[in-house]
Amino acid sequence: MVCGNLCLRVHPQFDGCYGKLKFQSCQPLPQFNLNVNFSLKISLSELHVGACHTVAALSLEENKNLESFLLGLKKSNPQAFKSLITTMRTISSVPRYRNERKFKQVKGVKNLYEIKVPGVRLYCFQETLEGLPQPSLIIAAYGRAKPKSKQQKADIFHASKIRDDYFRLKEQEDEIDYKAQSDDED
Amino acid sequence: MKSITKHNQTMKIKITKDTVSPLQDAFSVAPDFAQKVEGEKLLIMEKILERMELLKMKRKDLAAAMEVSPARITAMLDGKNNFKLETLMRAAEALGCEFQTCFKPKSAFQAEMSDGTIVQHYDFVPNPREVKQDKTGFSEKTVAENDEVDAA
Repeated sequence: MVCGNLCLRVHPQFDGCYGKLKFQSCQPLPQFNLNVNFSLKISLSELHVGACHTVAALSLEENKNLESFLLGLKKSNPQAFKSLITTMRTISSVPRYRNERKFKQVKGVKNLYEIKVPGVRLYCFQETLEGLPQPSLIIAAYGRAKPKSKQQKADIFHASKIRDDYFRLKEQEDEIDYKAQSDDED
Repeated sequence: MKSITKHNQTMKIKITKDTVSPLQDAFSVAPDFAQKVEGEKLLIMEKILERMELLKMKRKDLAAAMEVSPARITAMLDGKNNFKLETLMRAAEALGCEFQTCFKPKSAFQAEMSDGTIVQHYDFVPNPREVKQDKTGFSEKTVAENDEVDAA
């Protein structure tokens, strides 16, 4: 009889979780772990390069949820979208943004921040990637329009999960795809 | 598609340019006037907050010193408040600062001095009617003089 743990890594589009199959027998046989990794990819799209920070949108394995949310927001609530851009630009222009009504760390969660615009919350985290023109990054991970208190907890959990997935994949992957804003430089 | 691969200590960063996604396209639009106003309001509040932090002043202290309600300070932080000159001067007074204004031209006019140094003039923009051009095929006279010539 087969005995041991089978850990199967599931595609991150399926919520980035791990499926776990466990077989046990009454006999104390040595356990084994089998990890099956799919090719995973981190993609960052540069949104704004400020004087102190760069804001980029995160996409894990071609997951377009954040992009869909932001483009949908542009159509459904252009005022909030413009306000979000303005807030991002202001945040990235100073070394440490002090206005907690617009940008603050989520209470009790390390390295998770929310950009607050009326009716919109954009969760992001800070990262430093050497090799870029501006190594200090604010990475947008997850956004939600008009969150209610219960939803907000779920959103914070989801955003934390995306952040954790990013750092875990960063350790596993040997390359990050960074889409810079187009400019005249070569 | 152009791509550059940069190595850092642990991983490679493949930087791709010239393939702008719809999202990047949406964010690269130049700010309109309303956005510029909102941005300036947020930057003003940032300066006020920086000074408050230095003075270890709380919001309610600032509100008391400015003789406004704390809700007004909250509205200012949200960027909803349309600052009056009086409000800004009250804030400056409360923070022990002097209020200054600055109108900076968007593009500076450069002039080459006789010793070859380039000086940037922010204070004035030359009257195009007074600028004489030569060796370009254009008239060396001002428009006013040209008018007189045409009239003759």
